[in-house]
Amino acid sequence: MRLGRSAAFRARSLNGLGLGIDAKDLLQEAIVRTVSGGNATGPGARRWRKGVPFVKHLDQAMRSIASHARDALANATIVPASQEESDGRTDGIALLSRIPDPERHSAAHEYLEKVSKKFAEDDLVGLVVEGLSTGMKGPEIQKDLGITETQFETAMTRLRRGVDRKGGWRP
Amino acid sequence: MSTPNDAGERLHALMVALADRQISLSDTEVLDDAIADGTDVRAEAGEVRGVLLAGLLSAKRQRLKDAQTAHKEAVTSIKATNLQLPSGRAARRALLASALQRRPEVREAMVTLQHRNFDSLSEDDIESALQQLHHLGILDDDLDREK
Repeated sequence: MRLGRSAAFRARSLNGLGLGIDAKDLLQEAIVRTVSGGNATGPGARRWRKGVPFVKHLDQAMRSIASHARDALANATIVPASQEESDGRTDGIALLSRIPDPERHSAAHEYLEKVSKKFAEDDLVGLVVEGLSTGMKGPEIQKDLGITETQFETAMTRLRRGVDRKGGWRP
Repeated sequence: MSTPNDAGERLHALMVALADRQISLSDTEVLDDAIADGTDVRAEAGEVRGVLLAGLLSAKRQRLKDAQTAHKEAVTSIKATNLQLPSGRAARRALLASALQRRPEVREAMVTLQHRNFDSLSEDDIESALQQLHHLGILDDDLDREK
């Protein structure tokens, strides 16, 4: 459950940048790299370290794949392939399909609008969304809004449950 | 793309924040979330398990494919070696016998008991064995001695 939802969030985060990948592809890529790269040391290798729970390892692998893809895209060292050309791998780096910019903007805007409407009457969650979407971290948001950690955590729970209905395992 | 007003960037930041917290949730929180949004926990767990198994199979297939490719390349490389072997049938067998006699550990690895006297080995088998020994760099002395 944790993995499925984390995969869904991370895939949607990449969709926001214009990379067409879904949760299942991302999770599968993490396990493929773990199995294939267990004895390797290259950039795509994901060694499962002793003492790290497997679920946590896979989440870190997905995080790393997403982060690597984001950096590569930002540095223009990759040009996402079209759906037809792609082999579905992210280390090559042919990242599935590319979402054209207008479509990316429009889909991201629409999604954020839905979240905003969902919490139209929940000011605190609305403000937390605003903070997180500008890259602020929990403690910064708490300080900025003058709320306690418990209030922040409660707002995060409401947000998570609200967002899950719209974009859970099946993005 | 990196301007704060970019909807895609804002969505990215929001989703990363949610993903980063997801993995540290307690079991109770995960189950409460599932109940709250009416998720069929068993079905979702089954789906995730299916993806993990598909990933494992995919990785295994890739490893097999890599091993086959490496084997093909090794065979091609061995066959492409420019090796001047004695032309006569008996001389080649003698060369192989002499090379293996001097290296019993290689003999054990290469020749099974049933082929000990080489009589049952074909000419191709003999040539292939000599090429492999040459590829391993352990035939040079014997070739020199042959000359």
